[in-house]
Amino acid sequence: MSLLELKDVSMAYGGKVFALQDINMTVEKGEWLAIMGPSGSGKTTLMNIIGCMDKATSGTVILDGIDLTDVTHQQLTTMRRDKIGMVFQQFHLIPYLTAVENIMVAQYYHSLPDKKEALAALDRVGLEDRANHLPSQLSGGEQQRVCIARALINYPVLILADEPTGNLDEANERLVMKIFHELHDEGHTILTVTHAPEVGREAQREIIIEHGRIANSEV
Amino acid sequence: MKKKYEALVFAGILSTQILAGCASDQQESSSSDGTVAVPVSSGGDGKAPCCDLSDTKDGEFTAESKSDNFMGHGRIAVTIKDHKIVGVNFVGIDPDGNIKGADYGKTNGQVENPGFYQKAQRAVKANSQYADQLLQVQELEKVDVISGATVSYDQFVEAAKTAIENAKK
Repeated sequence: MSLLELKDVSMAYGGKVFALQDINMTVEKGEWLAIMGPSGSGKTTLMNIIGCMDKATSGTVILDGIDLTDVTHQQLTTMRRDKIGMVFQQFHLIPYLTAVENIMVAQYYHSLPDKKEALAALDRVGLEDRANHLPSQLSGGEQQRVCIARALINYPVLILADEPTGNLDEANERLVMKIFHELHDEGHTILTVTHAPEVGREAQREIIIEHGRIANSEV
Repeated sequence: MKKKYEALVFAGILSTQILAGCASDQQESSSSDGTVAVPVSSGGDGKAPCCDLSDTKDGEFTAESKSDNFMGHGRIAVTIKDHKIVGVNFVGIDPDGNIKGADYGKTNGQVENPGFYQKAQRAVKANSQYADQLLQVQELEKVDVISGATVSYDQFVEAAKTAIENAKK
């Protein structure tokens, strides 16, 4: 059974404007898939549906064996909290909490905060010595590494990364992609959403979205 | 039980910090859209006035930025004569100790991802551009950051500051 399966998924705003139309795709456990496409193509809408942040207006989404079609928003929140690790282009770290506290917040809302485990997650991305720094005291690359540590802390079944290197310079982009490669080698399932060909190319497989439809898919 | 207690304590600390943060935001933010101005700590540190050349000695002075196991570091050689910078050489060193050159961005000697390789090579080029800029403008504060090479910029500024300070000893 696939980790993620989308069948005839569409998203129509006002019943008329289709952001996505008839999307069919699967993601296997341990796979690294890139969703690519230009701005306005629908890739963020697709990511929001896969990331349990929004519901499709039609079609079926099955994540880790659970059909999301008829779940409530509360259940969707629980799915997002338990199953998904999110990495954002804009980081979304709480500015007045330190790096380790930002990770402990994710633990708190999932189960229980554990500082030792949070520090280990920071160590995993090479930032244990920056644990007590505020986001404003970290470079963009370091903030993104904190985001990755935060995404990993609750052992998600799927890591969802939206333009993970979009705000980074060359050196940090290489470093973040190296971390993704390591996570993939460890068996994590990763889905990156990007418009950058060089980032998409790092994945095992690319799906290209154009005008709300899958324009191309290669293995 | 212990974990439950820790969670409660953490929640209390978190609430206090969020409230403190909100109070702080109100003090710091003057924006009508609620955004908060936060100090930037990297990428601009080198803009502080520094590196007066009036009391430097003649000679070549070398320095390195601090080493980072993930990012590597930068190495600079600044040549000073009559209180003027007459030569600058700056190179990036990768975490394995190799100078970032034509092979930087390759994987096992091969260009596996042309997009990444091009970006990596732009960063290598930026290293020499930083050196050229300093030679031209003579003032570290006037060296512009090159897009896509901000880590190199920070390493350059840190190494250059140290080298110029070394010229004063």
